[in-house]
Amino acid sequence: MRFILVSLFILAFNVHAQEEILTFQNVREGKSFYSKFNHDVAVKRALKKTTRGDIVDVYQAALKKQDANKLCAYDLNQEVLAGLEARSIAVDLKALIYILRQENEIDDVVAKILLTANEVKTTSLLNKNEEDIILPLENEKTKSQLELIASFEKRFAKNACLDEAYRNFYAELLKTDKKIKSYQVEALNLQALKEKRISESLYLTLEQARLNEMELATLSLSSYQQKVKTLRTQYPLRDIKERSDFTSVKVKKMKSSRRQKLFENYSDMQIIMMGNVIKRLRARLEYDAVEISGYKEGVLQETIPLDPMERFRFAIKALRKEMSLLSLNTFFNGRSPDYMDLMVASYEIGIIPASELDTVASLEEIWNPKKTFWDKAGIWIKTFASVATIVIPPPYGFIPALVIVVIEATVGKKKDPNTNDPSVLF
Amino acid sequence: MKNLILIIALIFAANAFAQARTFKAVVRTENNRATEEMIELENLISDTSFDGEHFKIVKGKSDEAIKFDAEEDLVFRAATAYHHLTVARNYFINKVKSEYVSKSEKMVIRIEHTNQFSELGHFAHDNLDPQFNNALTVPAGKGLASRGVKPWGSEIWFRPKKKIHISELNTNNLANQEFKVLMRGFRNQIHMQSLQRFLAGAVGALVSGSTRSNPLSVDNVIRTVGSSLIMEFGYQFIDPISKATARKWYWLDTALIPEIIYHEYAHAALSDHLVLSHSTAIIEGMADFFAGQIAGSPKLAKHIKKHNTFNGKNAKKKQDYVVQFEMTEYANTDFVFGLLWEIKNILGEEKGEAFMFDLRKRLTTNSTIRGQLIDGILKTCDSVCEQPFVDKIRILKALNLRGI
Repeated sequence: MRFILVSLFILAFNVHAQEEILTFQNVREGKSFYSKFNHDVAVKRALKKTTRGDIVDVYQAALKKQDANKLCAYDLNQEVLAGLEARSIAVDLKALIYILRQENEIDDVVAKILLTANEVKTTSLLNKNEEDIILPLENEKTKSQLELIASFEKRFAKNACLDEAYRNFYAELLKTDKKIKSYQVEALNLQALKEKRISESLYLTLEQARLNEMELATLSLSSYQQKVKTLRTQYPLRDIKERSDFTSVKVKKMKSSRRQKLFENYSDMQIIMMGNVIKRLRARLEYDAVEISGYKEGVLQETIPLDPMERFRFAIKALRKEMSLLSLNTFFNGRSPDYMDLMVASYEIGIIPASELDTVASLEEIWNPKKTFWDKAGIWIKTFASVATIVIPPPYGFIPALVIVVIEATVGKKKDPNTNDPSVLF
Repeated sequence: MKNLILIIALIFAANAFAQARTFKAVVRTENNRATEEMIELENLISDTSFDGEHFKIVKGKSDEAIKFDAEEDLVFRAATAYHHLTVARNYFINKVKSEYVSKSEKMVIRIEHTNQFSELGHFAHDNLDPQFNNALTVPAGKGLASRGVKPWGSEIWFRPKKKIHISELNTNNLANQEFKVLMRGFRNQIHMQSLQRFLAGAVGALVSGSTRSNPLSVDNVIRTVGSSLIMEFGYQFIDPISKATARKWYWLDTALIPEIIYHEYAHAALSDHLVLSHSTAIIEGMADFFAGQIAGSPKLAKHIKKHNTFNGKNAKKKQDYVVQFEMTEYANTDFVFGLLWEIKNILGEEKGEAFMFDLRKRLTTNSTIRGQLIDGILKTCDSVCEQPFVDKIRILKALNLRGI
């Protein structure tokens, strides 16, 4: 009887698991990272040919056909294009992706993955003159490299998505030559084509991947799905309607938003660890009392209570310490997450609500105050004025001296207000 | 039944009697300038003197209200004090809904009063250092029956004005401080420049061997030392020059200054928690805050710098500033006022006002700035702020910037 019950349960569980709906709907991001760029023309042009509803239908139909265990951005794009063709809708895939993001069918992270896949597939070769390409020397190393290229389809791309296949292929290629350069790979690809080891279509694929530096890509559709799945299982969203523009802000010197950067650079485990640092900061900021206790041989000798501002600075210092400990953690392989990464991670797992993000993020100003233009300019002007005091002849010598005095009086020396203050512990 | 009719008749009579009279008083214009206007005084219960439902204005130690036909200057001060005290009372009842104020007893307001306060005898002896140019709120006292001192309620005393020469004031040359610091820096730079020029000339002469650019030549020495001498001469004469051009006489006619009247009334209104036993930075700062609120002008707060520069401290230069300046005996009122005003700006006008009024519950007369005041602010935020966690962080950040 029990056996039947267990069997029924397993059967029901499997049926339930099969019914799991594959979705990439945006549930965390507010305004899109791509809304800052001017894609209106492409989107308007696409909407002249079809409706938003049709585009969503085509995408959803394509998504349904995807195997949840073998997700691939290239396959999804291909399926969408096939769907468009079946309905005789001539729409640029890029515009379609932007519309899907506008409709919150996908978030910015998925949008970037799909856009990158589209860019790889639509990259045209430079059609270089063969004479400009220095072919590799005929030796054992080249031979093994050419064999590796020839085995790409069978060994790497058989059951894998192109991004993953190319990364694995490149890792193997690096084993043959640690310092291999892009132009050397280009020559190897050409040599493989000339020796008819690979087809023209594979040559095109490999070259497109090389030109787009796919070996550096860290996030695929399946890995993103896996990361999000783990995070949502461990930290179910308390408010599914919560959105934040904070995550869409562009990261300086990067082509990514804060959330895109988070998923590109960190694993689900790392995100949880980062979020927990902020969880502890939040708890410390709410403490009513903090005391320092001194013990000798297990006996309490003294207790020093911290005043409210000391408690605040203690919380900040503890955060700074935990941030540096995080980068020393073996899970992070020496990578140092910055404070904004921690903030986005904590939002992602629901530790900090959207309404508190900006305020908690602004705490960074305490240990990393912003320098104004005049703060920076003041240093240079002062340096030049010091030299000018000797160089400029009388009676104008007083001018640089006056400039130095004015700069010293106006540009304050900003530092921790409690430095060298013996009356405070923190 | 008889009693009830009598009471109703009495209330009717009192209401009929509580009449409005018009007097000349000092008021503020929209630009916050003092001007004299004819003002209607509310809730007077006498038709001959400044005796109202909530305030009785008396002169000095007298118990009799000042008559409307008394000397003009006295009536002017009495009318101004009465009017602004009524404004302050209405603020506490209508704006911050103070039950304590609405139930408080009629107050005696003394103007032109020079005696010091005595906790036992109400008034100190007449010969004991008469007071001028200030005001104070005194707590109620039980009196001393054996010496014929009657019990008294909470009172506000306005001192008469008295002109004082600047030489008698310990101003620490405040007005001049900032300019002098700037000039000191300029002087040091000029001296350093002269020395550098001299050394550069000497090295140049030694290297080139030229006698034409001899740094010890009379011409060079006069030029180098001369500029330093002129600078030093100018620097040393800053004080006498500024003294000669500065204002010579100072006085304060407290009964004619609305903000001082509001400040003193705020002391009485907040005394349900901030007992008037002695003056502390927190008590004065809280009273200043509400005076600013009643005045409806940020002028007071705008003049409060982030850190004040009294007692020789210079918070503008962090290297010369330590946090002890904001602790108990070193603490200054304007620091607390500036701090409270900033918190109000963080929370918003409406919330900020309610916040500060609630804050008094968590303070006592002996509270310290860095201890109970900050703790009180954070706990008040827990109960008053819309987003306590976010608002507390904003407050803590602002306080941290102040160097507390």
